[in-house]
Amino acid sequence: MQPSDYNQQPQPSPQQSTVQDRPQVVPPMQATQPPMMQENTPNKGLNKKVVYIALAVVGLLLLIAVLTIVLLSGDEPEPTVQQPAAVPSGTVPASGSSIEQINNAISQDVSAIDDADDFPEDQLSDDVLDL
Amino acid sequence: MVWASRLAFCSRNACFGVTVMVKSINKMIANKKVLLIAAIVLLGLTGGVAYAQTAPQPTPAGSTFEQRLAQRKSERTITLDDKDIRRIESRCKGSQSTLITIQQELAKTIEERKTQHLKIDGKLWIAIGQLKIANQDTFELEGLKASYNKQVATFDDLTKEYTQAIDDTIVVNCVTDPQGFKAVVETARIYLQEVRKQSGVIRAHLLDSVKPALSKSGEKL
Repeated sequence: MQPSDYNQQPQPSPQQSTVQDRPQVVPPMQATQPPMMQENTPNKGLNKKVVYIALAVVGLLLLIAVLTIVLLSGDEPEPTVQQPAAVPSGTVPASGSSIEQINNAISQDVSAIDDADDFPEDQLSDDVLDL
Repeated sequence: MVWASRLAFCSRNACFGVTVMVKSINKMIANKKVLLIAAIVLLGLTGGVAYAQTAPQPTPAGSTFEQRLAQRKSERTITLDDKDIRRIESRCKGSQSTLITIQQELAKTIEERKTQHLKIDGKLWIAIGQLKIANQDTFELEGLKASYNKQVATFDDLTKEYTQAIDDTIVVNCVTDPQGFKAVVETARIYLQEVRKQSGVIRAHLLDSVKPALSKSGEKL
């Protein structure tokens, strides 16, 4: 076969184009179009994915940066300002006087509790309720 | 003895009459004693019946007013005569106004008492913490603190029931249901006594157990 025969072969002659032959001509046209579509969509999807990933990475970096700034700025004043006030008396080892102070404070709390005033015995008596 | 000494000076016939008389008097005295004993037993029994009424049980969580009212009625079994019913019907609205005032004061009182209990708990916590840092044995104090917390929890439960009972005395239609009104009032009265009693238990625990234990721990330092 000569090389020119390759070009002539796919083009049917008008004489050969019968009803039976038509479907043989059309399918190659249809078969060639979908591969072109398939070639375009993965590229677009890939591009989109790349853009999304890039955006996500940038966003994440920004978030980390903001958090780092916030944490660093928040940590700085704490040791200087809050440390003296944040030390509760409970962390001090017990001494005779400290326990005595607590004991006295409990005594005051107990004496402040007045059942006769808070829950009078006759609170619901017939006389009070006028029954 | 007096009768026996007198009998020694009498004639035979006269003595017979006297002895009969003495016997009858003795019988009367014996009867009186029996009557007295019977009366005491009867009083004791009636008192016993009054106290044998079932103690109020905590109302189930999420119970409706109707459910609670039915529970209180069954627990207290109030029987009222016509006179009592008429008296309650005519006066109970005024009583409910007083009960609203009591309810409002009670809410404040209970809140203040809770704060007071928490303060004491905090102080005990600090004392135990300090003693632990000083390498002191805190086993006894921790046990006493746990008991205190349990007692306070019981107190809180009782005040909750008391408050609920007071609320119910206000909600109940006392004119149409005097028995129900009387039942919830009686329930509230019992809870009031229970609250007072439990408060006394807490006070006694703090004064008689916790404070001496704290003093003992302080002396060891």
